[in-house]
Amino acid sequence: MNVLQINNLNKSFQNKQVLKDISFTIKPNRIVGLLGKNGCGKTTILKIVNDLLTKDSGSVLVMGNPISVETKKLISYLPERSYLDSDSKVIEVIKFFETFYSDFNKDKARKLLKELGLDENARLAKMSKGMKEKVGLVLVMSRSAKLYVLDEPLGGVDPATRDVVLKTILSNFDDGASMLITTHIISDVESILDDVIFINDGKIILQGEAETLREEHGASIDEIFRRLLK
Amino acid sequence: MILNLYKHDYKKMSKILNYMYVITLAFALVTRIVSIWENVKLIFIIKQVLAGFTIAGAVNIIVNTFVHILKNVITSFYKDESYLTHTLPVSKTQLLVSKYLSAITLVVVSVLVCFISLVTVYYSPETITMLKTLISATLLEFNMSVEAFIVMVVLLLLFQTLALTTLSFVAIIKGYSYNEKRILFGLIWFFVIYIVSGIVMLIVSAIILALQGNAHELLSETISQQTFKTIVIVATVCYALYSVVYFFTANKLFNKGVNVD
Amino acid sequence: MGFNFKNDTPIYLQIIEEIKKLIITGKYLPEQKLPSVRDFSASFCVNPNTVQKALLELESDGLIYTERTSGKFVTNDLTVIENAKNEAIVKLTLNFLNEAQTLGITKQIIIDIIESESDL
Repeated sequence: MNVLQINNLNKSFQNKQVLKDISFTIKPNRIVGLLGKNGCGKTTILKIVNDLLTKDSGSVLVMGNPISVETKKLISYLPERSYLDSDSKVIEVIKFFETFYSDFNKDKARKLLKELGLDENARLAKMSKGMKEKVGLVLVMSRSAKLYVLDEPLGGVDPATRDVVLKTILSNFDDGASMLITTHIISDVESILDDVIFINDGKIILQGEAETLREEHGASIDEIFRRLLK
Repeated sequence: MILNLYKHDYKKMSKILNYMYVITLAFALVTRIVSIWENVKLIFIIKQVLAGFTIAGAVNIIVNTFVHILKNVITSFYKDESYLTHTLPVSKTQLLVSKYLSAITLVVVSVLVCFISLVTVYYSPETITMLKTLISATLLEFNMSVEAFIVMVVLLLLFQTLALTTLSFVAIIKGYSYNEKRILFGLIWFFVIYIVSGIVMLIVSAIILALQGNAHELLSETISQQTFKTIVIVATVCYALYSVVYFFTANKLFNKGVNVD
Repeated sequence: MGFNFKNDTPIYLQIIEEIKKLIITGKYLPEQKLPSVRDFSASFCVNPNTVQKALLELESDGLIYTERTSGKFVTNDLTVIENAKNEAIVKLTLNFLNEAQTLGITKQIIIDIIESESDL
């Protein structure tokens, strides 16, 4: 069964159509990159999948379920913006996640916090943007979900942190689970992708297996995308 | 799950209010202690000032209670925090019920704190007698006991508050179903529904009074005890019903899905 | 580790080369247990399926073998490792010679250079 299946998805704001007939599927055990420039509609897709926006038409199925409480149990989502109450301590947020998500592993979360050098008793308000992003990552990767949805997980991190974040992602997602990652800096995640979906102006302009595309075009995914947009 | 949501919502809304409770109660207590020596002119003046602070604190609590209830609904459902709220594995109805219950709890706690503060400042056998005489004087022509009057008024206020709170939920959810000028649309819907509900209530009252043969009193200057009771009871029942209707309306609208900022 | 990949070659081929290098240089000894797919994936910062593909290829080359329950190991057949090493040397040398040829450098010049750098 497909982990995520999107068929003919459309969405408009006022008169502007931001998603045009989007269709793609994610099979189990795949890391999929949703690639495109800022404002191309990547985040809109993720928001619809996560019940933060309503769709105009089309269908979205997660493990065969339409968006509902059931799909929220299956998806672990890392939004681009920080959405945690900055008055809370890290450990309080961990407890909150443990209360609401039955697949949340508190011990794993504490272990990851330690690995990333984060103090569980620190208040979010006192943390830098980069540290807060790491806390978000820990929360998301400590769940054993079927689909991890990461919106620009490398958004504000420096090159040194980039490897740490990628390592955390790669060594902590469950066997058989899949991952949907968005980025506008393709070279950052190129090496971890199974499949890529290029989006421009709300439309899918190319999709396929990353290695196959690299062989066919004799170029990196990053390079292929640049050529496509020319 | 709903209990956890409720705790989370209540904790968030009451965070700042808790400080206001403590400050207002402290003022009340100090006022009370100071009034032991109120025979001294200077102390009497100080007591009056402190009593003023307590009342200001109480007003502040009531205003802030509603501000925090509305703010919590908006931030939790539509602002940054919505990314957490709507991805929790709980239903939209559960989210709304939690907001509703925590709001009611907050109102009750706030009112209690204000009540206790005012009682602390002003309670004495003389003031109670004075209040009783005052109320019974106005109630004289209605031939009604003070206790019955208070129960009626408290019930009316309770259901009115409930209805207004639920109505504001409907207005926010409706307002945020638009793509822009969401607060403005929310306000417009609030007043439209409020006015329509008011008119319906008036018509129902008029019909019932007509059935009792007292409709002419609506236009006269004095009203009879029976008419007064009828109006208060009709209003209370209407507000109770409205609360239920508004709640189901909010729930229906909310379950259609959200479009967060 | 997290090394930089070349853009024009499939990543799994580059991973094969990388792991081969670790085996020929003795970083992984014969019969030593290899890291899991997940560990490789994390340390190279590459996709686990890509690592899996590379390991399968290495296994069909005989450089590594799978013990059903306990994971993947480096072969104990020293000749296979030796062959891989020779193959690598030949490949390296041929690449070098090709490059030299395009620069118009003759075999004799190369031999002269090698002899003068006798401490190599």
